[in-house]
Amino acid sequence: MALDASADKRIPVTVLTGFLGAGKTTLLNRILTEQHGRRIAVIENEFGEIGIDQALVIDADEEVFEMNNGCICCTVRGDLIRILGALARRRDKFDQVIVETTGLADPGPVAQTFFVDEDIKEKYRLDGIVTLIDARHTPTRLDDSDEARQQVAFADVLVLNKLDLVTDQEASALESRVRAMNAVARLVRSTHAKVALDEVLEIGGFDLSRALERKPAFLEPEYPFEWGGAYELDEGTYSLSLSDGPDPTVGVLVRRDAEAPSEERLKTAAEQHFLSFVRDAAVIEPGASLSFEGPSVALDVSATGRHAFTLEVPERGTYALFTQHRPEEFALELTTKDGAALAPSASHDFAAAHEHNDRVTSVGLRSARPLDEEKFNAWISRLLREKGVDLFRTKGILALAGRANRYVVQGVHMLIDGGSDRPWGEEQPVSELVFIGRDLDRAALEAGWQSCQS
Amino acid sequence: MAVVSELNTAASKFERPPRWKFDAGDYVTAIAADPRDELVAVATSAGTVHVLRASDGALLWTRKLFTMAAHGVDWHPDGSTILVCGQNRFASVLGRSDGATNTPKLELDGGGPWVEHARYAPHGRSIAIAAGKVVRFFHHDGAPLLETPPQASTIAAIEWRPDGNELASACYGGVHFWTPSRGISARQFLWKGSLLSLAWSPDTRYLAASSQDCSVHFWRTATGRDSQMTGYPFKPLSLSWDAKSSLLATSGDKTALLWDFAGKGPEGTAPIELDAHRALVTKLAFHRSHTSQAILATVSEDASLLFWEPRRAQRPVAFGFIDGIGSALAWMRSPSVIVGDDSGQVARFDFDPQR
Repeated sequence: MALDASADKRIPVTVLTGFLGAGKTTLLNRILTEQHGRRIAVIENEFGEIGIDQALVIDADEEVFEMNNGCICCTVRGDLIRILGALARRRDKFDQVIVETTGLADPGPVAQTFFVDEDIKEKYRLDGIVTLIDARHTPTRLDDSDEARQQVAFADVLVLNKLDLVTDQEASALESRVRAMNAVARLVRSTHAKVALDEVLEIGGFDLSRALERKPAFLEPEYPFEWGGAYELDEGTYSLSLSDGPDPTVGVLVRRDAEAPSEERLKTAAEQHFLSFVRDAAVIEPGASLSFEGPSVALDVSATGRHAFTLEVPERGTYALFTQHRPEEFALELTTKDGAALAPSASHDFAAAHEHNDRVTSVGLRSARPLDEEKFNAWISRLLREKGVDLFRTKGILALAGRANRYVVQGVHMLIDGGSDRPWGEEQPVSELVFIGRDLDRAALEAGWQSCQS
Repeated sequence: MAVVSELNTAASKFERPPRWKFDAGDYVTAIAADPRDELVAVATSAGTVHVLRASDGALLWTRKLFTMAAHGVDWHPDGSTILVCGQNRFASVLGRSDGATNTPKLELDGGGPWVEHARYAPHGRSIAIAAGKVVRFFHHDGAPLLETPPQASTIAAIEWRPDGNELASACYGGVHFWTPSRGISARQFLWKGSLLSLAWSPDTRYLAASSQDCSVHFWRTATGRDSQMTGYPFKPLSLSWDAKSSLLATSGDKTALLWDFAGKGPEGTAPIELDAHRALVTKLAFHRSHTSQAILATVSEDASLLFWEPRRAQRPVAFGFIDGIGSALAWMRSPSVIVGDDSGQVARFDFDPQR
C-alpha cells in the first residue's frame, strides 16, 4: 500500500457488498452509466441484470480458500486472483475494477487478497468496501446474520438505501446502530441508490496515508445515553412528553446542576452521572413523576400516541436531562404547565454505547503521550495473533517516541500494513487507533494500549 | 543491468542478438513451437493467434478468436493442427496452414465462460480442456470422451503424463488424475493449499506443483509420498524438468532455484542457485534434449534472457535482450528459444555455445 497516493498508478478496486435486494445492481448500473469515458471492469459473483455495453462484465463463482501461512483466518479469493491477474495482462488497461459480491459474502477474504497476493498488490489497490444497506430489512438481518454484521463492520462507506421506505425515526435508529458497529465508515443516505459517485469511488479506504482521515464518531467515551440537554427552569410543574418510537421504553435521567448551562458543563455532568444510567432501569407508566435522585428510569412509551410524565421542579435552577435516544426519535418535548415547549439552553449528542447487543463494535483508543515502538509492536502482534479472527478492520495514526513522522497502520484480521507518513509538523502528535471487531474487550484493549506508552 | 554489463565488458561473445523479432501487438500469453520446427504459434491478451515462420519470423497468418485474451496454444504432436483456448466458451482446433478466413476445424465446448487450459495428449489421440471447475476430454477428432465432476475450485493447471495416458489436474486441495480411456480415476494427491501449476518429470516418477503460498510441492508418483520447498518470495509459477528428470528448475525469485532429484531426492539438500537476473524470473524452461548438456533458458522482469548450463556452471553462458517483462518462453527442437514479453514483442534467440 503506497503512502503517496497520487503516485500510485495501480488500478483501484471497489468492492460492493450488501444483502440481496439492498440495491447493489442499481448502484452498479448508476456508476457504469455516469462514469463516461472511464473503462470499468465488473467482476460479478451475483448474476444481476447489468445492461451497460461499454463495461466488461465477468461472472465468477466466489472461491474462498485458506492460505497455508499458519494463520487460520487468512483466507483469500482465488477467483479474484485469477481474474484480476488476467485483466492485468492487457495493453488496453481498465481505469477501475468493481467487484460485486454475493449477498452472503464475507468481505474478509476479498480484502485479504489485496494484502497477501504479491501479484495483485503490485497491480491493484483496494480502494474501498462499499456496503449497501436496505433500510427496511437490514435491522432484522443485523439481528440474525453474521454476514450482514461483517459487511457493516468491513465497510469504508455504508450506504443507507431505500430510505423512502422507512420513517425518519427508523432511519435514525438504524443509523445509530450501524454507527455503533462501525464508527469509521462514511455514512451516506440514499433512495434508489442515488449517491454521488465520489462518495463511493476513489475513497482511499485502505490507503495508509488516509487512515482515519475521517474522524471516527467515537473518539470520546461511550455513554449509555445519546443526548443530554440543560434547561433553566423556574419552580413549578412541567411535563415531559414523548411519542411511541422504535423502542418500547426510553431511559431518562434528570439531575439538578449547580452551574450555568453550557455544552462543556453537560459533558462534565455526563461524566458524573453516567453510572446512574442503568440498563435494567425501573419502568414507569405515563403520568408518573420523575425524580432528581436515584438511578435512571425507563419511560413506557409502548402504546401508540403521546405519553406525558411529570416533572416537579422545587426551585429555580439548571436541570440536566439525559436520554437514551435522541429526542427527535420519540419527538420528546419538555413543556410548561400551559403547554409551551421549552428549548434547552445547551445540548450535546453523546456517542452511545451499542444497545442492540450487536457483537460487532468499534473501539477507539487515543493517547497524547508518544508510544514506545517496541512495546506497541509486541502488543499489536500478539493481539492480532490471538484475536485476529475477531478483528475485522484496524486503522490508526501513531505518534511513536523518537519519530518526527506520523506512523500509519491499516489492517484486516491478522494482516497489518504500516508505514511512515508525513511529519507531524505543527500538529500536536496524538496517537489514535480504531478496531472494528466482534466481542471486543474494551477494557483489555485500553489496558494494552496504555502499556504501550513510552 | 549489473551482471549483464559485466558480461558485456568481459566479452560481447556472450550476447546473442535475436535472429528475428515480431510485434504481436499485445501482451504475449503463450508461445508454442511446431514439432516440425517450421512454425511458431503466438497467443496474445488481445485474443489473437499469430502463426509465424520459425526461420525468419515472417507472419503467415493471424486469427482473432477471442474478444478478450487467448490463454493457450498447443500443437498436435504431428504438427498438423493447433489447439487454442481463451476467454470464450469454446476451444478451437485450427489447421496448420489455415489462413485468416477459414473457420476452425473443430470447436470444443468447455461448458463454462472461459476455457483456461487446452492440451493435446503427448500421443496426440486425445484433448483435455479445462473450464471453470470441470475438465472435459475429447478424441482428437472432436468426439467427447469424458467429463469430470466439478472440482473444489477452478482448475488452475492440467498436465498430461508424458505417455499421454493420464492427466493430472490441480486446484485448491490437491491434484486429481484422470484416465480418459478408462473413465474416472480415483487417484488423487491431497494437499490443503491452492495449487497453481504442474510439471511431470519426463520419467513420470515425480509430479511437481507450485502453490499460492509461495512454495513448490512435489509427489513421488508411485507412492504418493510428498515434500515441499518453501521460502520463495513470489509464487513459483514456472516449473521445468530437465530431460533426464534430475533437475527441477523453479521461478519465484530473481534467482532461479534448481532442485537436484538425482540420487535420493532434494530433501535436505540446498538448491543450485542461478543468480544473475536483477529482477524476478518469470518463465524458465529446459531444452528437451537427451543428448546434450542440460540447457536452461530463463526470462525475467529485467527484460533479459539468460542461457545456463547448470550442471557445468552457475553463471549464465549466454544472454539476450528482450523489450519487456518475459511472459512466454518456448524451446524449438533445435536449441533456439522463442520469447514473448508484456509489450507484445516476440523474438527468436539461437543458443550456440560454440560461437
